[in-house]
Amino acid sequence: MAVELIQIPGVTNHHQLVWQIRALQINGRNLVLGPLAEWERKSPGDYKKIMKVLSNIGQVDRIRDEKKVKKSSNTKHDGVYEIRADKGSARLMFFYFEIKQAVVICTNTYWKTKSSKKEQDQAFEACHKMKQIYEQQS
Amino acid sequence: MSNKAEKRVTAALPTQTSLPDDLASLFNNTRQATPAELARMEKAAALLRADPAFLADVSKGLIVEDILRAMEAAGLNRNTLATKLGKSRQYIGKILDDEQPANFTIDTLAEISAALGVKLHVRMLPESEHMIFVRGLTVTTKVLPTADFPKPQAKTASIFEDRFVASNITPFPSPRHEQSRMSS
Repeated sequence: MAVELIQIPGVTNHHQLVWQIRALQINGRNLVLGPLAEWERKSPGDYKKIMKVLSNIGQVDRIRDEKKVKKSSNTKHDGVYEIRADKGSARLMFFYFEIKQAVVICTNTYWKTKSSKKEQDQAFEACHKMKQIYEQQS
Repeated sequence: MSNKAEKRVTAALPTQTSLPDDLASLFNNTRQATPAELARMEKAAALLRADPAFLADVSKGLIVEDILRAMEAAGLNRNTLATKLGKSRQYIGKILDDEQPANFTIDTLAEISAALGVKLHVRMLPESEHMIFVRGLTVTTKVLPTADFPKPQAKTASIFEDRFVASNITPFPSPRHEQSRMSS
């Protein structure tokens, strides 16, 4: 299994003063860039909000505003977060990794619908599993 | 972004295990962005970076985070901050809601900074410079060369080991530089 971190198009160095921002790629595939590209095309408002929060995340120690970043409330999913397009539906899951370098690692996404608590939980679960894989391999 | 850039990897890790079935299925069923889409995203992001409304949103978001962090450090909540500022709780609520069209003036920021006991930095920098945050030390920018100034650090230098100074516009000598000046 080849695990690597790739750059997210449009996230420049100006946005990565405290944390580098990367997407997780496994075996040459990732769960981030495809949905981001789709949001950029079909939901530019949500895309803009996600890019704004990504910019903020890279420049502060931790995001405290829960309208922007929410930590999983499930104790099984320790240390995983979702970036929210406030008043929108796009959600991008990530975790912080600080051993060799300070990196925010984006793992997967989901599109919030009216009753998507289950989808949110599944997205956190997937993020948590990828966090464990990354931590084990590094 | 080009294919080459896309494949630029910051950490390649050794093969060890296989993916759990549910994750493998997720990876296989998620559409991958095409090179054309990646290039389009770069372009869209460049347009955002040139959009004053977006830049204002990003800056407001950062200010809100700075205020929340300072409140946390000072042990203040919205009520106590409002009392300290002599304002209503609703006013604080409006300040902390960066989605609302509350515009910060420098005067407002200075009042809030003073109430929270934090420093206020409002700067406009050319594209060639950027802010660097050094934990526990100071907020600084990339060094540009001047006659009486240390050489600029390489962009790849560790921000944790090298000391940066404010800029060549308002040169604050680093302690090391100051020491060498005094000894000469």
